[in-house]
Amino acid sequence: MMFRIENLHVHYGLSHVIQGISIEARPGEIVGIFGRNGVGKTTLMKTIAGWVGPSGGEISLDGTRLDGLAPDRICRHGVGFVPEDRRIFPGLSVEENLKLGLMQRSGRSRAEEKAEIDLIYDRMPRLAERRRQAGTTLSGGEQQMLAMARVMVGRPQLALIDEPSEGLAPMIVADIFAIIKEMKASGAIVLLVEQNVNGALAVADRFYAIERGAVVLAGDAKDSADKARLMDAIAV
Amino acid sequence: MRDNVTAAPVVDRLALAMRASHVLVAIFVVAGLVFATVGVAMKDTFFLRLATEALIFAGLALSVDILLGYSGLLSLGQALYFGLGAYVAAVVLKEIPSFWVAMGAALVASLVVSILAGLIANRVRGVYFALVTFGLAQVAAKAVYNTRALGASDGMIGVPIVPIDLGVATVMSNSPAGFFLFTLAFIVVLYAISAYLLDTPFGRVLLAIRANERRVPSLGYSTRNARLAAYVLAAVVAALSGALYPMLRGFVSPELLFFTTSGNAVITVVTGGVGTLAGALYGSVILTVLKSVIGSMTEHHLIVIGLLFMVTVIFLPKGLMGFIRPSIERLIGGGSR
Repeated sequence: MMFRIENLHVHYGLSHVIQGISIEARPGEIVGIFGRNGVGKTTLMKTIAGWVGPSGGEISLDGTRLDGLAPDRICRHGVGFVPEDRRIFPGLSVEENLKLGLMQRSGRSRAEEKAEIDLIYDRMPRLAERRRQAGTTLSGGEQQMLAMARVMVGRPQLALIDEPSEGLAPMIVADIFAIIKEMKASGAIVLLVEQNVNGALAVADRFYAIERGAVVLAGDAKDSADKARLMDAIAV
Repeated sequence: MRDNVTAAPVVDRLALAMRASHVLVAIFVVAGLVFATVGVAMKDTFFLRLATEALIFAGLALSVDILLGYSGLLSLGQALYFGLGAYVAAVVLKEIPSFWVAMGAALVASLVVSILAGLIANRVRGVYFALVTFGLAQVAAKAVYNTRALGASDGMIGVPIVPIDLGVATVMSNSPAGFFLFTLAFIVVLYAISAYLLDTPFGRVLLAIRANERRVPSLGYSTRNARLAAYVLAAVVAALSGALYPMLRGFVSPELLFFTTSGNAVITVVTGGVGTLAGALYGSVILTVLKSVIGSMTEHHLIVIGLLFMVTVIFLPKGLMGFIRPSIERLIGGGSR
């Protein structure tokens, strides 16, 4: 299984936001996507998830073309998306939010679905304690956990995680990164957009730096020379 | 502070709200039974038939609430399906005086029309959806209004009295108390089916669509299919309710498809409480009684209905049920929320 983006272009009207990005990732790999604000990181994630239509290039997962598909079909091909604003559904409880994430694994029995959700509760007891509360009554960190758990119950082949640590306390951030590592351990490909570059590099295997809608640097997250070049490239 | 939150009793809010609605519907049924008993004891006809009409229009309001309360879709044209059910039932009953054949025909007609109309209406959102549903109903109303075979502007009269064979008993449609009780049971069954469906994962997807439609497809759901299913469900509920109308009144007229019918259903739901289902039942009784009582005093009764609508929106934005239901929830939830 391989995730591949080739020469991707995205336009917002006349604005050429993504200018020929090419990326590759393999199962069990966390790939960091870094860059300053407004360089196209979130647009890249939204394009992979199908929220934004590409104007050129190809996106494929395990040989299946995803570009041009509707978001629900992309999801059913094994792509889970945790957007920047988490998008917990108001009016639905924690458990109902989690159950909505099971669509990626449709065809399962109720017992299997329950077992899947119980696994999440074992891993995240705070969600278990609050499972009947409205999702929007959770703290910011808990909402982020819920958004990630909602993707995890679907066991995606590719998880897109956009700015998971934004606005969260350091203790919660450590927990969030631990969850990301668990996704990797389960064999998923994780694409991680993160402003907390040092935190993300600690869990990532490889990275891409984006500038003005194009990849300007690719490197090994564990290589200190690559990390230094990344810091220069994104001027952190 | 956080530990206090953790220690708080665990309460399923949605399930509790639904249970509170069930309690309110149970109270509604008991009130209906008492009303029927008093009506029979006093040999009343007028008020029993008026209450039956209120129940029939409660079915229409229920259909509006399925769309507005659960999917966030404001339909200004639910009268299309109410009128469709009424006309199909009237036409069938004049040829084959069988309740079940008439209801079956109304069901099939509403399924076919709502799937076709739903494919059109669900291409747009928000105010455009409201306008498209309004337009579809107006087209149907004008078509009926100008079709001589359907009685044109005069409508169709002479719908026969039908026996409703329930297996254990037979109810005649001209029996004020009998048809009232049957209609009460029928509308409660429609409520129960709607409540059951909206309590399944399908209902949760609808709530998710209402909360944030853009996010839903990324969880693997087709919002178009879910919205269409809700639209068809609402249409069937409206049409089956409408099919009872010619049995009660013995006639149908194009006014059943007009905007005033759709508009009244929206006012009913807003008055009763959007997204509660039970509110549609209570709202319909309130609106029908007000229209009848005030209508007997002045021909300007719509001014009062309009004022009621404005007062409700300003002072009871969650409608009557939004005011009452929290107390019921506290009672059945042991005071924890």
